[in-house]
Amino acid sequence: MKIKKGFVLEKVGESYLACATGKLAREFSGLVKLNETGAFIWGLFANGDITLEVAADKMIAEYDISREIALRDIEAFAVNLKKNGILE
Amino acid sequence: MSEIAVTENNNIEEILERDGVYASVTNGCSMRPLFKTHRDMIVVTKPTKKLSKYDVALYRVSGKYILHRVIGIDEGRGVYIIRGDNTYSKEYIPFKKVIGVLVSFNRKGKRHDVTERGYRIYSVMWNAIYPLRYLARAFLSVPKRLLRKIFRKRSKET
Repeated sequence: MKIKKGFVLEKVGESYLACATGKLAREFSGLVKLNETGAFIWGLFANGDITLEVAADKMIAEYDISREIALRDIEAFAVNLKKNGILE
Repeated sequence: MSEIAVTENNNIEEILERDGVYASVTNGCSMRPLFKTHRDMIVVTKPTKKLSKYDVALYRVSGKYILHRVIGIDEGRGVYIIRGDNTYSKEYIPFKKVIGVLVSFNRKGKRHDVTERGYRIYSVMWNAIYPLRYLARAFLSVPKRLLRKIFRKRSKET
């Protein structure tokens, strides 16, 4: 799973905002708002094509949470990304 | 845990009212060379105080959102004197019509804050050399107009 090339993520205060630039701006005109954990997962999917399992491993290492919670959270996040046409 | 919300960028006033901050990809050429269409990302917040000279203001004219630079303030008339970095006419925008102010931006993939020294120098210098830019544009427009005339004549002849 990978986030489409062209998204730019910026930290603004306590939250993170992302929008599409370049050619992608023609097909995606929305504004994405994330919290810190959301931005962490976003970063995982933006930096390379990784599976949910690998993303969950990285999340467990970062946040010291159970595998079940990590997988559930990442799956829900990925569904949201897919629904909004953010994933490749 | 993680939170993600995707909103459409239709009503910036509403987003600024709700979140206090708004971000978007750049669109249009009126702020070149700073911003280029679809290349850069701007971050705007709701103004908490009166804007200063060289701040970049977001406002709406005839339904269209515009992001241009404050080049002066007319306290008597209660307006900002505004001009895009790549435009050659002044706009007079009432204080209350300004809905946002640029706080940071991502240009060519690099994040910048409007308080950065380099950016402040650009803002001041770009405005200071306006008369030169104006003359250069007027000078360059003559051959452009001539070429256009010649080619229009030729296309009519053929």
